[in-house]
Amino acid sequence: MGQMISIDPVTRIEGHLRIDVEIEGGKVKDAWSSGTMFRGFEMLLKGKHPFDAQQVTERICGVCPLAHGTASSYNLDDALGVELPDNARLIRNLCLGANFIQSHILHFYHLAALDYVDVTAVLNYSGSDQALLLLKGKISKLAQANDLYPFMPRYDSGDYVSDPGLATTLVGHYVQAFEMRKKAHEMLSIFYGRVPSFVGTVPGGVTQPPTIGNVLAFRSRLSELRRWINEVYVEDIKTIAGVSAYKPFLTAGDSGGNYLAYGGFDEDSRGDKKFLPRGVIFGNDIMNVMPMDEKKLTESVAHSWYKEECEGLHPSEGKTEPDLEKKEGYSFIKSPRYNEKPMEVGPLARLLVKKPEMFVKLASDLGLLTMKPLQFGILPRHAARAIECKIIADEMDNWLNQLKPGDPIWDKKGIPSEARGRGLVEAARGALGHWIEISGKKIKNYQCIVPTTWNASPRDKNGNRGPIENSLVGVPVPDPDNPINVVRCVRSFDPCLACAIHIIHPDHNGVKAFRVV
Amino acid sequence: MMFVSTAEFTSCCGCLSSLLEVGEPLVSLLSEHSVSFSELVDFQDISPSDVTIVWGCIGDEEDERIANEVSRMSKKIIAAGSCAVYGGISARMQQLPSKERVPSSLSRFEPVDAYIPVDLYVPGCPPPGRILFEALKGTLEDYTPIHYDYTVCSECKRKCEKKHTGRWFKRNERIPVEGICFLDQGFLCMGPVTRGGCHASCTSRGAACIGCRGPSDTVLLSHLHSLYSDMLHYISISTTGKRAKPEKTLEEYIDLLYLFTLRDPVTKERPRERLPRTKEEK
Repeated sequence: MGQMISIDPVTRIEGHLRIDVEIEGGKVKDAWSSGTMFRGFEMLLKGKHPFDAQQVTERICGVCPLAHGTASSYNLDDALGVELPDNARLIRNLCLGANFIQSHILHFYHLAALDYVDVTAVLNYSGSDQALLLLKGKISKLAQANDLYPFMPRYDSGDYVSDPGLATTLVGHYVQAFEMRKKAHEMLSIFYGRVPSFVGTVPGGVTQPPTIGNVLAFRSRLSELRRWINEVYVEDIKTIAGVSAYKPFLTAGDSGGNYLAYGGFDEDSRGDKKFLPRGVIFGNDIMNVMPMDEKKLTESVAHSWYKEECEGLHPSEGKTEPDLEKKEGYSFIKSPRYNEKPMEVGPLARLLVKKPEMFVKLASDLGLLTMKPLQFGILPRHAARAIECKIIADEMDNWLNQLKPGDPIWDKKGIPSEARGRGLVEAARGALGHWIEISGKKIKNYQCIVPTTWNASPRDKNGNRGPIENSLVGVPVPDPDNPINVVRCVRSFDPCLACAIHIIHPDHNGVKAFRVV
Repeated sequence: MMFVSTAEFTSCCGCLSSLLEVGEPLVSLLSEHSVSFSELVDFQDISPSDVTIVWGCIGDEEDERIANEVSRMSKKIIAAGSCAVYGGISARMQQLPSKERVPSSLSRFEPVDAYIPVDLYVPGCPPPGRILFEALKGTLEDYTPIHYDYTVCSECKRKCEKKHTGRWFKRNERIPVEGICFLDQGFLCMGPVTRGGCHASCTSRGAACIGCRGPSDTVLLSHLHSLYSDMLHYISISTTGKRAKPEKTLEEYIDLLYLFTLRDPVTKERPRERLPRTKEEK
């Protein structure tokens, strides 16, 4: 058996994730991903008024409340039989789009970029750009005080970008990104009041009508963001992807070639046509996108701390009943599967299904399309995120044009005494589904499958690893004391654990028991 | 230069997300000080710190252990968000029938000050970034941050009209008229009993207040000393001028009333000086 290392918690992600890897011959041989928190929001919702679901599920996660609120609204719309007015559909798209922008910027600059850039290189900057010199001054002050937080310390690596000019520019963008993210949130609050945990969408529509004033306010911020995404974000990704030392990461970290996208951003009122299309890809056969069949979704709990009777159910029938004594368990995350296969969700999956020109061109420039078998690793995942951010921001401008001030924003429907509904949307991190069963005008059952549940899921009953576990296998780790590549790989998925589950339990003996086995 | 830290218990990271909203002023403030431990940087071992912001409620033994350690290492502690201040949304677990509860090791869900002393409370789900930032800056620079003792109503720009006398409507039951008080239209709005400071961001975007900032000082210090009856009392006074009978629809509202401040029993049991208010009043 190779050497075991544990990273607990993986930092600079949202929530608590523990990764155990077995290293042999300088590479990861096997991996286990454990979500070590539990919150059980689904249990909270039983017996509640169906309209409360949206406010409660928004609080599942403070980074992507928009996605949950939107999924919950679509879920209720479906159960109530709402015919969504165009204005409401567009405003939901615009606000979800703004959330994508802020989330992608936050992830790349504030959570992931420091894995690739040597901040101390800023001290050697010799250029004449005033803003960068100011930044150099700030960082050298921190360095003199021997305190480079929040930039240091972290795992040491010989391959950080250390060219002073480039590194300084990138660190400068790290600081700019705070302001850009703030702009995206301002844009969102024009229609939704505030973020996180907004109020503006409700089952049946939205609460704030479009007016000339708020469309203008939205557009002015959007134009600034589009410019920044084009000129800074996308270019930075291309720069990092082009660094020769990072070439292995183009393919290392491939999750196994199964991709799933529920599709997002409806372009008609029934949601048949979507800006990001729905589809499934198996075994890296990216030219063969199959239609998605909702009946093939199941949740396995073979290695999760939930009771056996929760095994293999469709999410609309799903159960969430914890069982901490389970010997095979090592995570609070369930294992959702499509056709019994683990699926990667997120920007890479969405873009492989949609195949926008810009992404195809970049992939072919990087030589990814001629490889056999096809592999999409850590850097393509980051690149997909940036390009998606750009195409959504560009499309948002068109959606703004389609808003019609004065038209209805709400289709009011009463609550049926018995109904079922489901809301499938795309969140920044991947496919998000909410399912509801209403009985006696109350919630009988509410289940959510969030993107990180797909990506960070543990093994299922057939022993198939989850996508993050699978992607870690083969990642080079020359020095077991310095597992930087492991965290680079995990972070490229943008895991969000608050969504997936909650409650820290790092010392749970389930993990140890599993390791001995 | 002082050490600033953040610690997270059972939470959704919404408070962190809200703080980051502040942008440039936050970066400037942090470049003058030093971060000791935080989930946003790589370093998470708890070490001495001057000001620590904590978010999330205490969910299990591990949270309690971290809380005690944070308390030992930090000179001042700011409890941010409704989970840390009141138990928040997770504390609703306490309402579940006992057979549906999660195993006991996972079901505490209590406010932070049930375990460790707190110097400053910043309620809200999440609190607006600027209020959180102001609280941090004030604590670092030793001045008293603004105390938001007024209600959401005093910030709301909706006009009051004829008092509503019929039955109450659920939040999404019908389409509210723009620019007119929700209560006057028959929608239950938590404005009159909720702490302000949020610029009434929900009511100005067509949605009634759901009380995420928790009870106002008036409610907290009220003689009835039960959040539920207090809220009911003040809302009925500000609408009909009389104490309302708790009708069926209002009772259904209990979930929303308690969404953020569920721990009525806790508030009841807390000695008055431990009620979550800001520093200068303690």
